[in-house]
Amino acid sequence: MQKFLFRRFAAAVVTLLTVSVLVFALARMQGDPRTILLSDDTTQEDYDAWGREFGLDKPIAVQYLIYMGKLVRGDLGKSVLQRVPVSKLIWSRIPNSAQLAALAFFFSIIIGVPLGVLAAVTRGGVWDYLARSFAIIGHAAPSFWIGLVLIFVFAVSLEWLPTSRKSGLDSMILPAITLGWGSAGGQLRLVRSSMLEVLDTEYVKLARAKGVPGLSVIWKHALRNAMIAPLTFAGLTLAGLITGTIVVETIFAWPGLGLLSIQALNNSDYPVIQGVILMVTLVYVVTAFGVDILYAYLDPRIKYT
Amino acid sequence: MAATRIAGVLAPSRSIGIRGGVSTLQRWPISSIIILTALFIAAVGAPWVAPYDPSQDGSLDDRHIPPMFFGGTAEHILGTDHLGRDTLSRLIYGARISMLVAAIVLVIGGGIGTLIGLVSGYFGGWVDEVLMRIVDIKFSLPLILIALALAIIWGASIQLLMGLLAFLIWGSFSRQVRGEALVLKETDYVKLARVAGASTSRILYKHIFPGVMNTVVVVATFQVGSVILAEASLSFLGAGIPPPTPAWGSMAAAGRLYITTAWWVTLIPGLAIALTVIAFTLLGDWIRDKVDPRLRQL
Repeated sequence: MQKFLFRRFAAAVVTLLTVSVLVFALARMQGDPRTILLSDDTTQEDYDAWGREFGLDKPIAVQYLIYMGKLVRGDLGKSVLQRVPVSKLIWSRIPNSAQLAALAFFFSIIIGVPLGVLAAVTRGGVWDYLARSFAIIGHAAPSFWIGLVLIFVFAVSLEWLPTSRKSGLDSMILPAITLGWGSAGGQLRLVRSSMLEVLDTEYVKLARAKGVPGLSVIWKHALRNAMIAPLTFAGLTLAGLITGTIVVETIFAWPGLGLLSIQALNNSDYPVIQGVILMVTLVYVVTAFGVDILYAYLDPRIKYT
Repeated sequence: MAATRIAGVLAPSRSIGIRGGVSTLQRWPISSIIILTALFIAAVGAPWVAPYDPSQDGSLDDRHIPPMFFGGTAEHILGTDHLGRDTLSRLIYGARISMLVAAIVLVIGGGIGTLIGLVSGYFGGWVDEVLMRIVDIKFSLPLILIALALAIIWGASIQLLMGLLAFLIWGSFSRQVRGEALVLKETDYVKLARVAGASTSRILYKHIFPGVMNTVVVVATFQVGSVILAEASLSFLGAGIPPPTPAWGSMAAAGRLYITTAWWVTLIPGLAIALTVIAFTLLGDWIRDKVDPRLRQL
């Protein structure tokens, strides 16, 4: 068990290091940072002085270490356009993205799990068919399209909800559904297949045979045991939602990390993108590690090596 | 890293899937075949099938003509966009680009991924360990963000897009092929080939590769959907196929601004994407159940 956790931890650290090297290499590929930061009429002495200040005269490996030293202290550099520390920009956007991801996560669970159970119980019937259609739309339709259709129906035609931007709770509904639909569908399919499996086991048959009411069998005996795989999926969903917000935030002008990245793309603001990449990878790696730990405690049947 | 774990966990549910799906999945996937045939004709014969030139701007009067059954005319069955360009023609040329990108990406990404999977599974040991850790890392990278970063550095281009998409899919091929190769290398015919003095590359190519071919086809069919979706999303965000090339994602992005007055411009390309991905997914389900139901977890 401890060996397993150690291996997972080591893997997480290696992933983060790889991403930091990648991001650093990409930054250098963009060229000498001085060409962006300094104006054309800077003298050669000033140019060299800047080079010394940023450590650009040192070997590339040393430059990487300097960069890592700053990263560890939370210094992600400055936005080229806004002249504000990137870490500050990111921190100001995280709550918005997190709220959206949390609501989408909530949506994916409260829709995915019951519909999955319903589909399993009515296998081959109308409800099963409808539920699976819901899942396949979430899987196949691009999220921007889902978002635009929802805007068209509920904001433009029916005028029930605002089209975009963050205002009250009602402004969160459409973005959260858009973001959560895909994972709700995935959750649904997982719950359905593992419910079907559990419903076929001896202990569920026994429970039915001894006269436990139908709903009670489904919720108490079957669902609890069918939830292990979906639970892992849920953890990873949470991580996946963070990347998913990029498209969704663009459509709904939602002021989170995704919109920040798109603005950075339009302004060629590399340091901002770099910061977001590092942040998102960190969140993903930490979540995946957390899910692994949680999982290890939840299911004693699984062996870890 | 966690994804490998999921695959292991899901394994027991395979049998259920097969049992549950026998009646429906043994049939031909008719709707998939119809959609994909239409798509293929559109992609290959775009210049002949498309009623108009996709980049030809219309006159002022041609702008935002609604689709035929929504107040428009038969001249523009799916209406026109804000520049008076025919939506159907752009959709047809968009299909061409999407299919071309998907085909090239599958060959490159699938080829590299399969090769890595074969090597990883066949050699085992530290080679396997290193390669599989790289696959794990690949799965934890935020690919869309990296695409945006690369678009800032080099500018969006179709070559960059294809490289990124190939990078997106190779890991799935590697994981699946590796698993198969692990089993195949223990078979008697591979052992005999080794005893007979066959070279490693010959064993991989002549004895193991044919055995993983089914898996590769199934994985490829499923990955087409991911490639099309990722391409569309990146084009939508402005980091994919650069305009004025008609791509479904960028068409939807351009039409987005006019959603209140001309919904068809932005909603129709998205619908095309959704139908295409559904068609490939159902086809994938069907092929998988035909050639190898053990792959149910995919």
